[in-house]
Amino acid sequence: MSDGLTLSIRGCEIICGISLVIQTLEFIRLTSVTGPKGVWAFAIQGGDLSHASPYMQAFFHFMAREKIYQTHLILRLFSAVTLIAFGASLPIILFLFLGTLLLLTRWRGAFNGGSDFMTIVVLTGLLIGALGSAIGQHEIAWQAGLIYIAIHSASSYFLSGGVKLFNADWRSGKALPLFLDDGIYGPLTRDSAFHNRAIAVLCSWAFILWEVAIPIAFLNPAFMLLYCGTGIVFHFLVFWFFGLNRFFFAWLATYPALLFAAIHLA
Amino acid sequence: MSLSSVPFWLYFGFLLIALLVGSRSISHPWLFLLRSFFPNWQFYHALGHTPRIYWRTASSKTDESQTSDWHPLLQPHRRRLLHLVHNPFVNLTHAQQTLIDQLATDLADRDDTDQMPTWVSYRMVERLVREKIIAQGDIGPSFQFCLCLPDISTPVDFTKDVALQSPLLRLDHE
Repeated sequence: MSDGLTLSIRGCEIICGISLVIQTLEFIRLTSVTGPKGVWAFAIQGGDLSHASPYMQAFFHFMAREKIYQTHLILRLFSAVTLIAFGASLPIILFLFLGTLLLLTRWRGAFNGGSDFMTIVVLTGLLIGALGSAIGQHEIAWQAGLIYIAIHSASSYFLSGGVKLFNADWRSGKALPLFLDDGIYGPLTRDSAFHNRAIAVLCSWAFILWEVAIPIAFLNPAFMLLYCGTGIVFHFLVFWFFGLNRFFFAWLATYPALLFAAIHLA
Repeated sequence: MSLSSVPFWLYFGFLLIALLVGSRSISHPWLFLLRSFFPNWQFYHALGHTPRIYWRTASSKTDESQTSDWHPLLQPHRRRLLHLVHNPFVNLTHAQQTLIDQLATDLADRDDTDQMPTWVSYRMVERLVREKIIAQGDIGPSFQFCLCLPDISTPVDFTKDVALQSPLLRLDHE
């Protein structure tokens, strides 16, 4: 197996593992919310499964029991640390993948939107690699897994930028300050630079063009390196203004796959 | 351009066409719970109405005329760098906003509005409002909440933005 492939796999495993540790510690901190007196109490939220078979409902009801849920989170934490330390073995990845599905179902399909989606993408890519390895197709399976992650990551940037490109409010710089004003950390201060239309237009176009430029980054690994470096700044800003810390690590976990795909394509 | 990069460029061309043409949405209870497998990757894509919950307390269990002012349910957080690695309560607020968005979606999409108090999203929002009021220590016999759909660029106007108003609900009972 080439050094590039090995490095990319380890990169994905380690950053994904860190991302899962952060997510799991947050879930552990929030266990009262899913407890019997919490807003996400299964006695209410279980109504989402009223269409499911009695066996399925019984299974989810069992898994939602407080002690089971907490034990699952502890095991998940250990599994994520194992992923960081030793890499993606099939039992560990399968447990993390199925556990993520269970957690998302518990949170009505998503706890933190896009970061949940990207976490599933990375775990699916790692699962493809681990499954392939288990049947002796190590190299091709890991290549497929990384390409799968890279396709989703690239699509996320391209679609996110594209949809803004076709929106007049984003092109005119009107949307950005309004979304920032509506952010979780409260409205922008009066003297915020984003109230200046020229700055808002400049920032909006910088984000849009950077996002839709992802296909060009595949032309040369150096371009992709630059793209990912800018991406770290971009996701930090998204965290800083919108409080979306999980997005930062969920997308960072895809960067080794993006770099691998750029090298592979070049 | 090498032959292996042709599918790559075709793929991005397809995405571009999909953006221009748009797509139909499909719904199913399992698809709702497993929607993480079908991400659309469209974040903050368009301005529009932002679902918001407001609450007020009443000094009577039945009389809506003696109520407090409306208060926003979700409050802004203080920004901290530490939140990059541990941010449970800000993320919980995001999840609570998602829950409110789901109630607004249910209100727009579902036909059985007469059954609204039994909807999962309604019951969860009701519990969320009750929990927040009790946490603030503003204990009264009853409360009421409303779902408003103000335009993102304008402050809420209770004369025209209210999409749903609950009856008076007892604070000490579900």
